[in-house]
Amino acid sequence: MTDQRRRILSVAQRAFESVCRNRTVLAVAAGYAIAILGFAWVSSGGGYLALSLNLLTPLEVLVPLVAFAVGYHAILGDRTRGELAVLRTYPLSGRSYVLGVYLGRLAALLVAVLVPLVLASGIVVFFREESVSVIAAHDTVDTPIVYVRLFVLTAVFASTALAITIGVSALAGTRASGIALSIVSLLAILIGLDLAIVAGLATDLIGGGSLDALLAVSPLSAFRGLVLELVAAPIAAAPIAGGIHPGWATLGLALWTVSMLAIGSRFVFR
Amino acid sequence: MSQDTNPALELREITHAYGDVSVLEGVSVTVERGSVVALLGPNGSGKTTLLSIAAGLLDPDSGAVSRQQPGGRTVGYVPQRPAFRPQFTVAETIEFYSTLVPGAVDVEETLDRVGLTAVADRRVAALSGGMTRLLGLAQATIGSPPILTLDEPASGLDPQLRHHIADAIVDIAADGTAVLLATHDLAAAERIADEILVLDGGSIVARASPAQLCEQADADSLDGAFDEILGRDGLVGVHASAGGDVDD
Repeated sequence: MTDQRRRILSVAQRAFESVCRNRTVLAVAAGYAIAILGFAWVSSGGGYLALSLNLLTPLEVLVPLVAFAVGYHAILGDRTRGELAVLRTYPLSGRSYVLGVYLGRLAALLVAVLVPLVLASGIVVFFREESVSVIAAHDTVDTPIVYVRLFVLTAVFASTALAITIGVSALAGTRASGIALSIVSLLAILIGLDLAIVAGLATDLIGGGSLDALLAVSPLSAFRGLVLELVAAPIAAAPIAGGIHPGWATLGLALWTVSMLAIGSRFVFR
Repeated sequence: MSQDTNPALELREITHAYGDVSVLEGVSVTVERGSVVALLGPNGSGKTTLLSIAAGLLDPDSGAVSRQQPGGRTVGYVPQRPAFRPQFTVAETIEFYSTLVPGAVDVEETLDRVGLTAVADRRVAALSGGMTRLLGLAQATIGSPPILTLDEPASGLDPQLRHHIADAIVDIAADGTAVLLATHDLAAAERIADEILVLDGGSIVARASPAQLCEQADADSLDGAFDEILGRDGLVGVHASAGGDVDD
């Protein structure tokens, strides 16, 4: 293992342990788990597709919130304590540091976000009523694979949400600016970009032909589009509106992730 | 094999300003291996800025900085108020920083050097201000950097801890490390420094060993010499022309 890779892993390990020892984050994760299990319970009796669709909106809202709790203080905390200045005297590049922080926090975030999803699937396993499958075209195609797709797409969405939060954390100079920047970016992700697209369509600034690409610009729309396109559409009994081309959506999420980590790396040791 | 005779740290004609406020004006400093150089001066005289430039945390507007490059960590740095992740223990903190430098680091020995072995398993959140300062000092020595920069390492501490930190700095210098520290603790500076630099208004106004400074100022102690060099008002005055509260 190279020295730089060893240092990235050290930073990642410290970032992971920091999250695990933070009571506020643990409380947020517990709240998220209760909410997800609650929404899953509401859809008990249906199959995997029903569960996936019932969880879609809660995931769109809650995953960025949990990512915010896990990541907003990640780099900002080191800056306000003065530890970033100390870290700069070590042979550790800004890129390695940001990548380590991201990987460590991502591991913790994925545990927090995905474990409740696994538990929620138990509701289908134990409480499914075969005769009530009215959403899927055939009971036989409503398999766990449907839910696994939601699981993977949620992990991808969480990764992007965390990258945005880490980038913001690297840019912020003070605790107050960190919170303000995080809230603004959260609002932008959750509603701002979607509202901008709707406004653009309403005022004819945006043509319908470019909608796929524009929806991919919004991480939330990209996630929703991917879920509808890859989870729901293949087995739904009726056409489902809102899906976008998976290529555009994946590209959009990837660009957000890479660009926010790159911005964080560039400005962390400013 | 010939021994490298270059100084461990050399700052030449350093100039720096924050916006329109000039903080350093043509300051030159040389720190040899194994020696302790103390920066003295009133609040706002540019000490912290000069230390930050020496540590590589800040680029000067003009001038040159040359440091001994050992291949690993070049400079150890202790900020004015060192702070670490409160939920980790003292040993875990040192272990983490040790993984960032090439080669193996003996965590126990690092803590023993500053007298923190007894609290190795204590969380950082439960450390006193003095112990946190010692942890900062321990952190700064990880990887055996040839240069150590310390910003007010003993401010606000009781006399016993101040002595303890001063002794630890002397030990570190005795191992060949070049030490540059900013301090208001004149007694400690007189005891441990090989050279004193007095900064005022962004320039060095006096430069000599503690004994020579006392002799030049015809004073019994460094305290008296410092009074003489800056004038009594200078001791308590904040030099607005040199950055005001930017420094210290």
